[in-house]
Amino acid sequence: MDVFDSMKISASALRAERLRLNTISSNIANIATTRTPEGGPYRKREVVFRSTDNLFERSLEEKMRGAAQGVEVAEIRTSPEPPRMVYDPSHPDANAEGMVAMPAINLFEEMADMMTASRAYDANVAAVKAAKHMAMKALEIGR
Amino acid sequence: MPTIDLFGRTIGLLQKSMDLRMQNHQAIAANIANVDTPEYRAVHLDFETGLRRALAASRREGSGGEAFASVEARVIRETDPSDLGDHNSVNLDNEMIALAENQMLYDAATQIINRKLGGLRYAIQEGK
Repeated sequence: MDVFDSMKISASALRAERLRLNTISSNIANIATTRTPEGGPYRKREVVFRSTDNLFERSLEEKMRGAAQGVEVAEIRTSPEPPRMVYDPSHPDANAEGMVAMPAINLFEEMADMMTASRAYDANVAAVKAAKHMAMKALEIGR
Repeated sequence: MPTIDLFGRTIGLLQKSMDLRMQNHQAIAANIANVDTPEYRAVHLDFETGLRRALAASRREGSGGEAFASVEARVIRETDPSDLGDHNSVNLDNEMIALAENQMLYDAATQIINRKLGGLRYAIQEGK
């Protein structure tokens, strides 16, 4: 049924945006992490979105299959940017010159990304609410 | 002998319009879902012209609700007019307005159907 298809689309976006928010949280939390399991300073993670229409394989509307696409996270990419070198001789991980390799994370960038992700999340919640409202109205016909 | 068409053109038109509005909602939801997907091209459904044409034809020929059965939405893919950014052509403000508008018009259709059915019920119950 149509209502549930549109809710599935919105749900896929809610899932993707939440994953994006988690990634941003991880970046902010690790803004000064110099030791990681894979060695060296923490590297910034970035999500890559991809639109998908395999949600609708069973869809009755043949035509809507290509038109109404959900979204998924294609990959979580580790940023190739080199670490930021900071002068801090008292740091335990400082090298012989007193430089410390810090993660190349820009807090302003992360905060701006977080706001966009959270706005996109809100927009999708509004779409789910609208679908629910429409379905309820249809149920009221003939009451 | 003329057939007794209880529901007629109005219900046929409203039914189709609700069906298409639900499809339209699906398209709007997809655009909102893909607001941050690179290279995504926004989808728009055009069905109002089709409905209008079917309504005019049904008035001309005096046919009933079956005139709207074949109306289908036309899928339009929008390309990003600017050459900036990630080539995503979704405009979130436009989509939110389309979402609200679509929902309101859907509500309006359900309300008119309810009124129409209410009128029929009144007649069936002999005005009681």
